[in-house]
Amino acid sequence: MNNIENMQLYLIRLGEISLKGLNRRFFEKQMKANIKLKIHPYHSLIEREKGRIYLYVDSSCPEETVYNTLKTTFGIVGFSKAVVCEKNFDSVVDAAKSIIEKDPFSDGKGTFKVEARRADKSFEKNSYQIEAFLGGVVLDRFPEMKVDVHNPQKILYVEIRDSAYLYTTPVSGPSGLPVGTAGKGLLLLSGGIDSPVAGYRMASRGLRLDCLYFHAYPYTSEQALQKVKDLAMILARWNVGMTLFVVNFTQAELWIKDHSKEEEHTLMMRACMMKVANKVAQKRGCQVLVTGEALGQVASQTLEAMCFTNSMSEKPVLRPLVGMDKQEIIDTSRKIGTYETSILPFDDCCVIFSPKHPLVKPDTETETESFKEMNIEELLDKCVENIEEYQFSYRV
Amino acid sequence: MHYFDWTATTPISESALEVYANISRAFPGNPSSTHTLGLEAKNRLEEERKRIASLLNVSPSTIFFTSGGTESDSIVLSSLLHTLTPGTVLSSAIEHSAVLEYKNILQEKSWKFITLRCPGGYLDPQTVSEALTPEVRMLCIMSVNNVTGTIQNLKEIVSVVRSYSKQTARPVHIHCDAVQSIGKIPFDISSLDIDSCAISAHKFFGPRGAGILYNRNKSLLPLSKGGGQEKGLRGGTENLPGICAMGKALEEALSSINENYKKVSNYRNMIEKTVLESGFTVLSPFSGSTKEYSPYILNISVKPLPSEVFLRIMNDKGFCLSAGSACSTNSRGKAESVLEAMQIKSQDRMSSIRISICAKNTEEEVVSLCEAIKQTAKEFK
Repeated sequence: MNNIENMQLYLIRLGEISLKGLNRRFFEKQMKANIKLKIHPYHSLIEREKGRIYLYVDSSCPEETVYNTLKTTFGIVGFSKAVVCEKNFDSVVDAAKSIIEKDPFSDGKGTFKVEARRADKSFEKNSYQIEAFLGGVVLDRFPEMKVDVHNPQKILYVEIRDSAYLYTTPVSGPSGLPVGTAGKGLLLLSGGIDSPVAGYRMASRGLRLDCLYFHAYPYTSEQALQKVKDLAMILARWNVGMTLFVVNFTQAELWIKDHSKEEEHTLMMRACMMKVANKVAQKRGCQVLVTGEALGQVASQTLEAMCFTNSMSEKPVLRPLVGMDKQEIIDTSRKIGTYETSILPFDDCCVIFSPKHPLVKPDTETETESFKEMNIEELLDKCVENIEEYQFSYRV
Repeated sequence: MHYFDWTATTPISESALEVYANISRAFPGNPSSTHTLGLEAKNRLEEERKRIASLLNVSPSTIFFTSGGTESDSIVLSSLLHTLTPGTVLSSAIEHSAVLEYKNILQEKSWKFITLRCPGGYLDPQTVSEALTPEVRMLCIMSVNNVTGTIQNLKEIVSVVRSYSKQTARPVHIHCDAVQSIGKIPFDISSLDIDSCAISAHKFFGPRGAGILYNRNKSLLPLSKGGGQEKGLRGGTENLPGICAMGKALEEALSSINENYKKVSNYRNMIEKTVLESGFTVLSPFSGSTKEYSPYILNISVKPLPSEVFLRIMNDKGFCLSAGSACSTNSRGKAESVLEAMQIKSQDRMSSIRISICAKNTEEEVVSLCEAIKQTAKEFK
């Protein structure tokens, strides 16, 4: 093992990655890279030993930074801060006393057990003796707590190996697969609730994302753009950084308004967005597009409308929310911290471009013809040429 | 930037700012302290009260210093919460949110809060007469509406209420929000026979955080009791520099009221003409209308452009305008509630723009505003 003096140890548990076969190393390597990048500039070491991941972080790194990193790194199911001490019983007891002063034991309530494992059988006490004694230590400190060896709410783990390792019930990680293991996608990010959740869900399957936003100033406000930037910044934590592309879409919207039937405005707008997104995806090496559409949520998200917008895209369109209920989407949005920003009252589309009675069951052939008649391709090329780019850090 | 949002706020005048600084330096004491510095501050405060009362042509005993219009309204309305038997409050449907927000609060305490419809922005005295019942304890009616500039026929409305009170021997407190009137249009509190009225300094080039509650109803109870300042109606250390600066600003505003009115009326006519020529709609009363209106406020509809889009376009051209009332933009949809109560069509409400004018605007500025309106109509309509 490398020099680990003055470093804090965290034990990391992996979920789905542990089920991988020969390519398991590939996933682990990406996860390690993601963690190291997010913790940088603090020095960190990641070791893999007997199916475990050990993360050593320079002790000058704030605990909050490590927690926020591990809580937002896909592939991690749980993690615990561990205390490493000398292999003698007095040191183990002292380490136990210090570790129970911290979360999750620090509130002094609920049920617990101590679980000891002794790889080194020469240790002065056996596992049962360690468990019994340390159980007493916890009860002395927190008399309100109760022992429950079957279904404890909290567990204090002790492992006697090359040194003694103590840690508590793991904090949950986000699970999933490490970002970067599944290729690259372009997320069509609006200021709403759905698209950030769609991005989160695809990132959780290992897809690295870029974002694309269609800005129509003065019909949409600078605050609406700022809101999207804020959302991209939040997603950057999960995505290990983020690039946001902003398309100036005003001229295209006005063109659509003047060159298509009112009831087709939204459909034509979506078609144009798909065309632009394909061009951007091609440039950026994104293999797929990702949208926050959910079946039947609004007029442009009926099956027929989705079939039409699909037909406008050469790249596959992933819609991770397609079968989700709005409430489920909102719950995830709250969980990942985008909800409060998403509900700010700055619209991403102006009412003058929204038809009163949009087509809900469009015919793909007819609409494709309408799209061609608009003759808007040149204008869309210009949109792509004048695209603006913003970078957001993976710092947590 | 060219400022056409004077109804939202005005910058403190140079002379008022000077007064603020001088008073801050010269009277460091707390008017409630009994030492010399405290007594000096107290004397200066009472002197200012007399001066302001005389400017407003009312008795000094009716002047209570507050932090502004919202607090003045709140003292009057929250006072009802202490009443043992709940009654009814009548209010025009186009009041400022400082008043209308009390609807829910009072209703929770079993009060009836009836908002009276105001077609075209005017409360018909007949509507008031029909709504009066023995349970009515208060009527809230603003003088100049902050969204469209309509001026209520206060004399007639007050007279309707007073004669009802006489017949039934049921006193009704009449509270008037005069925030957009003072210093802009002739407004003689005494001759109106109202019980209380709210005034805010920053609407007439005074400082923020200073205002007046004119009140002659001795049974009102305070919103904040504190140290019993302002005869117990408004606790808290008096903002002496703010109050004196407000006095100075009021004096200035009143001294040039007629001259300013004339200048602003002329500006309003110029803008109104441009608006109509550009194909937009005027929502405020037309110039020369027989109904009373304040020339300081012109509300227009820029249909089909939504208000906020027009505001952004004009902002980029260098003009500060407003959609509805600036106090309401934080709560979505609320800005249009006044226009809705005025029975203005939904599409016009969504496209409503408030242009508020001041004598400090130059004619060149007004001309360039007109040009910008015309240009925007051409480009975006």
